[in-house]
Amino acid sequence: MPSAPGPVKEERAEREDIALLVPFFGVVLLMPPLLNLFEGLLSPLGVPVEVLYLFGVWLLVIAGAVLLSRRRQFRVLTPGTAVPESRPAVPADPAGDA
Amino acid sequence: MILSPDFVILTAVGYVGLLFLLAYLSDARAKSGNAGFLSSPAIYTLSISVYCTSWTFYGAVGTAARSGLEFMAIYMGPTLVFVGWWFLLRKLIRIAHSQHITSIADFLSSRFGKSSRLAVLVTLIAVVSITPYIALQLKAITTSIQTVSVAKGTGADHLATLDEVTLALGVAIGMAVFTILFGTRNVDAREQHPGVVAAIAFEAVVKLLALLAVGVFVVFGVSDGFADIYARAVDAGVRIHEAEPFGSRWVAVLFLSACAVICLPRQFQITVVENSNEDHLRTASWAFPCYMLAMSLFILPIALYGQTTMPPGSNPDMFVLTLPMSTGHDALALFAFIGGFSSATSMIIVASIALSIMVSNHIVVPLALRRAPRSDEAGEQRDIARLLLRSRRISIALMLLLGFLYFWLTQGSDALAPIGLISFGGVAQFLPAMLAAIFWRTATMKGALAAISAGFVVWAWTLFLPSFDTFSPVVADVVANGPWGIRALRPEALFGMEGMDPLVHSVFWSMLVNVSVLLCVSAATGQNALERIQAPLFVDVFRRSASLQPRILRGSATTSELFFVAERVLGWNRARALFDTAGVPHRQTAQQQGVSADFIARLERELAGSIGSASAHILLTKAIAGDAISLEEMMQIADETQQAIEYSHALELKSQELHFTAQQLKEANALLKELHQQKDEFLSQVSHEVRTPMTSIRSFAEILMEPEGLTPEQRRRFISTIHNESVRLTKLLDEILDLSALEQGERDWENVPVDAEDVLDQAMAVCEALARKRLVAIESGARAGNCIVLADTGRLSQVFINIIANAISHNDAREPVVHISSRVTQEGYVVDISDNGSGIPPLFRKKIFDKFVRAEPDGTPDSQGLGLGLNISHKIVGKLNGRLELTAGALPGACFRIVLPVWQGVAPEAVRENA
Amino acid sequence: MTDILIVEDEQAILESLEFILTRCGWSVGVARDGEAALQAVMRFRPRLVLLDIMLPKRGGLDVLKVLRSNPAFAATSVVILTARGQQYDRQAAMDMKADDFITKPYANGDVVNAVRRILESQTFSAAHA
Repeated sequence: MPSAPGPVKEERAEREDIALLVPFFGVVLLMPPLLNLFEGLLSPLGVPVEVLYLFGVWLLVIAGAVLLSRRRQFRVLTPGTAVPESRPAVPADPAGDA
Repeated sequence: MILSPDFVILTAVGYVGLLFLLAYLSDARAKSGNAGFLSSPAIYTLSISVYCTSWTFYGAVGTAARSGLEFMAIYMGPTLVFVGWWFLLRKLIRIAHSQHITSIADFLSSRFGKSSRLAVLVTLIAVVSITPYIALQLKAITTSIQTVSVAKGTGADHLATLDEVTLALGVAIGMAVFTILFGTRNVDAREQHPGVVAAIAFEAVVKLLALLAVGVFVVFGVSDGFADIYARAVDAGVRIHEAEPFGSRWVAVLFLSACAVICLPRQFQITVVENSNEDHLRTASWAFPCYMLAMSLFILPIALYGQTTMPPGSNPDMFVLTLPMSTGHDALALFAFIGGFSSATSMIIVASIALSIMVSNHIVVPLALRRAPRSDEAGEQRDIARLLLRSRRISIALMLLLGFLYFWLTQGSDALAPIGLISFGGVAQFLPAMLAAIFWRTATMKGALAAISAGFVVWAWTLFLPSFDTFSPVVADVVANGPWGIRALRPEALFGMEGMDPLVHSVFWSMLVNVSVLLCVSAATGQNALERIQAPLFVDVFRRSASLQPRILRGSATTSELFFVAERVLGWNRARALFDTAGVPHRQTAQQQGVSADFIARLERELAGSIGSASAHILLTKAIAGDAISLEEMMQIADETQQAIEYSHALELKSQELHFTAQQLKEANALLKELHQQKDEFLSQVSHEVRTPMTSIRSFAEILMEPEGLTPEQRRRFISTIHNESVRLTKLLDEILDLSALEQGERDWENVPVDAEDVLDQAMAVCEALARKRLVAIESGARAGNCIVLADTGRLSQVFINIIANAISHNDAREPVVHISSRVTQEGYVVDISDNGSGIPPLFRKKIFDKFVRAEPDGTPDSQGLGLGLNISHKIVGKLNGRLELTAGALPGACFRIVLPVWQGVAPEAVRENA
Repeated sequence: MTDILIVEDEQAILESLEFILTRCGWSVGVARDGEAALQAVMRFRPRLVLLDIMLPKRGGLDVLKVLRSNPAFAATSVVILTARGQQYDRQAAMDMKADDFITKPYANGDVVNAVRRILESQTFSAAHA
């Protein structure tokens, strides 16, 4: 179970493994067996339940992503990406193939 | 309002001009270092939405009309990828930044040992896969122009007579020109195009607003909310539920779209290469799914409403345009057209830029360089820049030409969506290799190459080829009966696997083959040196300890090149020994002789031992004709060098400090030694000076103990001598005690105002007797008169007497004279006591005031005292705040000068009484 | 020929030595500094020199060195007198073949005994020469 955290892996002060929760449940909820639970049902609003379900899962996943993205441990400090670089766009050695 | 073709096309051209202006301004802003909003997470997110092409804009409605909710899978896949950004995208971006990746081909090739074969393969597959996609955009633009203008039936317009193909060609040429102007104005070293990104972001807003506008119009303008739409659809007999349960096709589309958002060259370009800040991904992780959610919010209602209201047979792909037009809302239709145009152009621009980078970097330039003779560096650089620009422009034109050709060949097929999925299926072949590249350390280049090739072949056979069946009877026959009638190889029913959705069939087979080949070939083959070097850089990009390990050099070098470097630094013998023990041939002329990462690291260490690690790294980097040294590495080296400099500077300071301390200690030690020696000498002197009188005293006492035979005269004389010597001894001890007291520090007397002249007179009087005895004349020179100084009369007198007596007793002149004068100067009260003797020999002048120093080379007879007198006087004068010095005086001999500060106090009368 | 030459710059000591040695029956000459001592040695040809180390003009050890470097004075015995008494003075004196070394202050008997012993051994060796 990917969502089960291993305390050994916990190297940083705050856990990064919870980032797995959202994609995991996203995949599970969007896979056919669960998806087909609501097949053919019509909601009181006149909109098919599977449509509401899909959008609901979608919103849920987005909400999860928003929550995660606000957590401190998922801030990324990019080393030196904003610095202009001096690398030629050409592979410097076209012949250097193995 | 009349939407003539001319008007529509002019609108499109005007819109493109606007985009160009926007891109131009943004570029200028970014170049001036004022990126600001341009490098914000919002712009980044919006630019990622280049994923939503005209296929999304128009085709999603068509898909929804034909296959229901399947269109959502196309958004759900990317959503899952983005919400899981922490594990995949972040790593891709980090690697791309640290390795300066310019494209997905560069990424894979770089990971697998900078293999140019792999780069070429990936580039070719990308070109083939994206061609249908570009064709799709051309088709969308062409169809939309036709729909918007021709639907109005304004036959008088000359453009209306253009057929679809000509229009598509025109659009293709226009897009080519536009993209060339747009994306290849210059060659950017980082392959980042802030202007393009800004324009793409703007287009993202336009297309979203356009689709939302149409959606709101449909749902709330002509209908009464979502429920009403569904109700009307049900009434009209339109199916609102899925035709069949979500199954393998849903999963396949989900999978393909997830692959696509990673592997599509344009997505890789925008998401990874153009990313200026990893942290933007955090925002994009939810904002991009939000964007897609907003894009798909009204797809179903539009599709349902279109199916409900539009006449049967109308193209559902164009509902976004035709629905507003059918109700006379031409302005909305035009807006919708611009939205669709936006999504198509943004895709074409980014896709062709990304592909042109790959084509020029991995195919054109290597070929050109291999052929061109090497010229001088600077010229070569310029040539390369020109070559790059030209090859990019040509590749862009070529890409659009290919797209057009595909469009032309497949024009029979109406639906947009299948074309898009064909593309997705092609680029999805990169995914296993991509994942292996960043998670599987021992995946090999041969494995990746074989897997991608095999996957591609299966894809081309099962999905790409069948897309031509409407155009080519041969293809149609192959699809129906298999090649040469081999039914087991039928593209859409490999090995008799019939009854499957062609897409699922293709995804299944291509992925099965792809992954299997990757696993097996990787397991069966080994990595070459460069792969072994590169693999950890990709797989362990987040491992912090990597910086602690020796930095590993990238690139390739022949062993002879390495040997050349080693030889230069280490000398031939050591270099040969090093290469021999590692089993590396050093006289090899062949390319890349399987030099292991370990060996390169070891060589670097060896070199570092000789010339320092930074220099060794630079040297090896230069020697290894691989990737140019990266900025980060440069910085690391610079840091290291800096640290080394700081460290050595600190060491230097420390050693200077130590040196200084040692020097001080040495000096202190020398001083102590000298003091110790002085003490020894002092004791020795004291001992000598005490023993001398003691000797006579003891001797005479012993003589007197046997008084027989002594005359009374002798007896008296001997007793007198004993007495004199005892007095001398006492005086000596007094002087020693006096000196000790003076040396102890604080003076033991009270300084009071005294008339120094009086004291001097008294001292002269005391010395008169001695002078007479020695036949020395005492001359009194000019005198100061009265002068009050702060002193102790006794001590001051002691000084005067001592110096005058010295002058008398040490005077070796034939007619000895001692001259005494005093005066008051600015310095204070000055007394000069000089004599006409031979003076103080230069050797003694410096230490004349030291203890036990007697200037006279030959003991003047009767020279009393120890040589402590001057030392004591010197100390006393010091404690009177004055000074005693040896100068040149009135007479040729020695001249001692006493300078005392004049007392500036109460009236001299009072002092006189005190004194 | 004089028996003993006393070289001493301290008047009182000179006087006492002269008295003691003369009382014992030896003939005594005196010198007050190193130069005078060398002249006196040449002039008086003493059998023994009582030599102070701390002397004006020429130190006692220097005088001893000159004496020992001249074969003419090889037979002249030298007894060093010193108020310093450090070991290195004694060592230096012995190295330069002084016959005895007496530290001030001394008992008169010590000086007399030393002188007598040396003079008698001279007589003895002369008798057997």
